[in-house]
Amino acid sequence: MTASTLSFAPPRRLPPRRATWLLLALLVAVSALSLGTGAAGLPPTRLLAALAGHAPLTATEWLLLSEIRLPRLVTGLATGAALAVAGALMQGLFRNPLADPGIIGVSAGAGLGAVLAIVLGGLLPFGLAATAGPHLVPVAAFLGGLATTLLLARVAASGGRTSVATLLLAGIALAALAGAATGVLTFLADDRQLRDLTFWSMGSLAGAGWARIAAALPLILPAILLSPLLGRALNALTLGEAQATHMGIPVERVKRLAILATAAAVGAATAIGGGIGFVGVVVPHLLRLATGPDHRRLLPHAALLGGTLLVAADMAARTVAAPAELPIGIVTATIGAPVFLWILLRRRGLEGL
Amino acid sequence: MTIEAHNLTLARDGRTILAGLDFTAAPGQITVLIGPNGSGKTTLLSALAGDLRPQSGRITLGGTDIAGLSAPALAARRAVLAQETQVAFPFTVAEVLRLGIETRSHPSGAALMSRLLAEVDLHGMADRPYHALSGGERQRVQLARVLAQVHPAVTPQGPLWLMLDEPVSSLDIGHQLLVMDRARRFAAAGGGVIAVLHDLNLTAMVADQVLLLADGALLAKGRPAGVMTDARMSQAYRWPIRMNRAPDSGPFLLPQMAGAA
Repeated sequence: MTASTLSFAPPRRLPPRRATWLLLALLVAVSALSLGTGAAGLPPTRLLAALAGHAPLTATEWLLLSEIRLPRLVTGLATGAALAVAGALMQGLFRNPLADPGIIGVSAGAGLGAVLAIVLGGLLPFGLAATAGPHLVPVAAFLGGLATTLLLARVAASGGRTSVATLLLAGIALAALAGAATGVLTFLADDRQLRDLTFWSMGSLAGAGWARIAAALPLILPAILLSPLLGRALNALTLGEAQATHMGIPVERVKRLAILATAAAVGAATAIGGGIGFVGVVVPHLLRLATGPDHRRLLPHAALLGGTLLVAADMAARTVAAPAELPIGIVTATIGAPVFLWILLRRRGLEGL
Repeated sequence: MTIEAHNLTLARDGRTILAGLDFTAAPGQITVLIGPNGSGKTTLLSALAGDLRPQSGRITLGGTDIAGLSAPALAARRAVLAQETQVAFPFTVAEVLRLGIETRSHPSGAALMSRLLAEVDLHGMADRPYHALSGGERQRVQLARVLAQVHPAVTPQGPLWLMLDEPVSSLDIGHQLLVMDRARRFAAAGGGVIAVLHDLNLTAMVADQVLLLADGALLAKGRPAGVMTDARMSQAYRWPIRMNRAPDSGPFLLPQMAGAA
């Protein structure tokens, strides 16, 4: 009888407001730690002393902080938040907790767009590449992600239902296709482009700079800030598209908006961070366990926890093999893939899989 | 404020599913759709709910063609209980119910929630995870959700409509009667009920109007006693059927008697 008593127990959940404060506190703490971590000597204690006014930073230290560590922190926060929110959006849209932009091929599509821009951007007519400047790669990644998401939604959905098996298989096919195209492009790339591509494909925040951030934020910020507005609609979609329509949700419009926001967030995140996987599946899952599946809280919380986790992963990537640096994609996959398997084990017997 | 079908014809994949249906469903009444498998009952209910557009003819709600109404406008006038509803994420009973309550700005959502749960015999289950419930319990949670969407049964804009697709399919006899009693009370409060039922005895018991469908055509409509005759039922279900009559009650059917005519 113990088992049935357990399964009928009301889910233990954190009160949403307390969860928000906890996540904010965690974000601030991890960010502060991250600013004080790195190959060059600028320990957290040194930062604290400077903040307290005991010993002002030297010019070199200030440069290190403002041009290397701060942009890297902001890139980590933005990328992690974008990927986690995109994951939560896709899961709501496809009604499945395993829909991750990395797993179903959206990241691969965005990556292909970015690689196209890196390798062939110079061939664009009318000096478009020069005009677009740092915006070219994020926009190309966004378009790649958008095309992939639209294709996925088309392939996997039939008669108002999304087949998860079809979704995952279509994702595999799309990722393979994008990977092949990316492979062809690496043959065309010159040495400098090749180094960019290799490092970038494994995911890294090492190239973080204010110019890249400025190019990506116009895509990431609207997606993150506006996604909670889709919360109620995504909650209703949990019961199915027909049921959501019956409750007055304009389902087609909601789907278009969710796809657009996902593509923007994943495209921009891929453009500045490269191939970083599993953030989108791990973060929403942890939050659902902690505070429940209500998308109105899940989406903003995912932004907070996603940013925090990626910054923490970046710290790990910088320190594990110091002074060398691991690609951050390796760190997130090492943590994320087991969590993904754990979800699969736990969800056996639940619907929607 | 009736729902009317005018020469309703609906085809899917080139196959005609509903052919030239004409009928009126009135608020304050329970209208039940019956007919053999594949006769078009669920399709008709989907059309009445506004999910499917007819090829020709039209459906009006209080004189307005529902084809011109948006999803929110329709949601403010009717709620639909599907045959089966799967919930993709680990929502609790209360969270599923809240989806229905939030479709209208109810001043006292919490009070309404506990009242609705009691009405579907799920008192005290608000915090249970939905996926841990039995099939019958889930069906009743969904019923409570759609009841929240059409509460109260009559608004200043007119009566509201409850559309139920096989609402008792996975329920025991006690809960079948409970659900039909709830539908009856909704109609008594001034709302309109349109339900697809497979159980002919239940239909005979609760229906104010029966629409008998066969092969997409409306074979008969009217009060159960007039529609559910031996001849019509045998024709619709393609099997000799003998209706019987219990003392002081409507017609009933004994499956043991089917084929004995």
